[in-house]
Amino acid sequence: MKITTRLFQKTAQKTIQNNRLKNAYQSGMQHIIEARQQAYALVPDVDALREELKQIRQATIANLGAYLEEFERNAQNAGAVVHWAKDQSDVGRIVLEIAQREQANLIVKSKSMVTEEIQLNHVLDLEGIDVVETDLGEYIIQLADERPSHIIAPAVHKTTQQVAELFSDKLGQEVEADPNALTEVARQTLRRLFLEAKIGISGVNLGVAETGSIVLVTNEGNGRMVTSLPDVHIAVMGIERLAPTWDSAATWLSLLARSATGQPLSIYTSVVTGPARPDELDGPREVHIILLDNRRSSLTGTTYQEVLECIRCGACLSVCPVYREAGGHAYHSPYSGPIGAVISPLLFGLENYPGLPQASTLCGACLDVCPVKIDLPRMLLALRADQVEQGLVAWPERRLEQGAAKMMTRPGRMAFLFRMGRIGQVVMKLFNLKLGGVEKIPQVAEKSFRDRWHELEADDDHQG
Amino acid sequence: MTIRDEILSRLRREQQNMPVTGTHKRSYPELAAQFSLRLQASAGEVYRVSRFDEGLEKLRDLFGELKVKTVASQREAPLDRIDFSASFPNQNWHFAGEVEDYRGVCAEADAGLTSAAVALAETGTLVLEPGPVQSRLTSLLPPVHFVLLPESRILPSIFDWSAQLPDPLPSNVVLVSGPSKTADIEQTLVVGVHGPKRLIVIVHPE
Repeated sequence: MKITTRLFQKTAQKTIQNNRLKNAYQSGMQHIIEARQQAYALVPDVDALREELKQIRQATIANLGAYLEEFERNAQNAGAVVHWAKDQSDVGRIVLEIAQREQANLIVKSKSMVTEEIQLNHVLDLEGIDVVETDLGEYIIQLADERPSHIIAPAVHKTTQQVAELFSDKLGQEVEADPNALTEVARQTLRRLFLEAKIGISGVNLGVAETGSIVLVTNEGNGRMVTSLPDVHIAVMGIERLAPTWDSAATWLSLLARSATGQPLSIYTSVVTGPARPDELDGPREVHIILLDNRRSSLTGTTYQEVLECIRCGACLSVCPVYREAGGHAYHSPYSGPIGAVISPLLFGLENYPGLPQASTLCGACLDVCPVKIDLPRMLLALRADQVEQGLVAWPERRLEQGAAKMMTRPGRMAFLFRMGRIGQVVMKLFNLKLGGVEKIPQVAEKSFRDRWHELEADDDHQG
Repeated sequence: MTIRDEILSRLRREQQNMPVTGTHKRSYPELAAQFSLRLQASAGEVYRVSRFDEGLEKLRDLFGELKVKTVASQREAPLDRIDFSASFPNQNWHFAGEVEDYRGVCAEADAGLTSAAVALAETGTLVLEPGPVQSRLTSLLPPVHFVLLPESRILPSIFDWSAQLPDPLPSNVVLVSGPSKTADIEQTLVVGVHGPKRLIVIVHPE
């Protein structure tokens, strides 16, 4: 399926015309924005922290090869098994091998965007393995067979009533439409599965090269369950999510939750360094870390290298006027909002997502809010330029833009265009033609600003 | 060429200067006060007592109030100073490393009682580490998590913790900043999802 501007608009219309859905996005995002502002206000040196994180991320990505090798070495020394994967099929093969060896047909999973990116659940499902999402929001959308609508609030588009109907239908017990009651039902249902599953899968918020550790943040505690109860823990990590040292990880962590949900830290920050040690009482027997590329390495050295600095806090979604109106599903990608508009074409092919670089007003709110100061508007423009160069833009639009470029780059042609405009408006007024739905065409000035500027300069010279 | 080498060959190896990190020191007039403030702000409960024994009395009262009968716990400092049968005659105690099925115990217990290796004032955070007598599950499976925290273990912030990590790191270190919670249904805050529904910390002097 090609995600064109038309398809984006069509899906967005569904959200815009549905008052309930529209309100869910508006109030949900407002809530997140205010929480973030309050959290930032409590940090005396938040701008210095952001600048520092920017520099850390820049320097890490510039030397990613060396840091990944250091991470791999230290993770292996701690007893973890490190795998490398190009794409979905590599990850699927690695997980399947482990599942077959463990004779596991149930896997509990903690929320992870990188596994959404490669649709890992779908791959495992085809092999008859039951993968259960355990983050409440992800559990809801898994039961509903939908896709997440926000990076950190995947079920933001659902109402309590809808969740109650879904649970009653899928879990075979009537549940009242109350978030507390619904959460309790999920707690009990999933608790049984946590205790039963032999394998847990998680994503990775960041890895730390100097100790080979992986860090996982959750609020619900499912991240702790998945990394503590099953015999085997498999973590899938995008290769760019790496901090060189613990000092830099501390800077990262002190901005991640504040930017995402407005919390000083998430409720649980789990630091996993290899499997359980001989002198520890419990924990997994094996820890596998799958380092996933999925086109990331091809972005280094290009104008898009900066996007690899992203820490996936979702702050740019909440402030984006397009995301807030259109909703997450309009992007037809696990990554929505401004960051989604940039990385979806980069990870899944610009030819498949021709509508996303245009799904932005370039207002710059995403750049202002980003804790890593990533210039998403710049990259959206670069993607649009790529579209023209690769011939991905429709012929009439291409001709029109080429024409405009020709006219606007020569002062003489520009002046000619203004004169044509003055004449043209007479014709339009005469026949009462409407331009782009404008009822009354404003009068073009007798003399253009350019002409008047020259006159003013001449006057000035006289007086001076 | 292996997948690993193929990926690594495409990545950059350009030495760039890292910024100076670890300079964001925090200072508070009273660490325990800041710790309590932040933890309470995220639905944690904090009691400050002036003697260790007073902390045990508080614990006894809370056990009574919450009808706690079975407790999962671990013999770490300062809990190893407690004479459990004398101080808590009404509770059944099970200790990590001393029972066959400690996981089953934790899954059924009314409460878990632990200490914490370190705490962080800025964010109201407890740092828990597994070890020879510490289980990951004491603080995770029971519906209520009680903590006896010596005041001297409170550091200003995460930057102080990251500067003095244990070496080697245990396989699992957890920073806990409140009871388990979610806002996944219509942004409504619900406390108690997968982890404990209540987190009760008693801060005591040494």
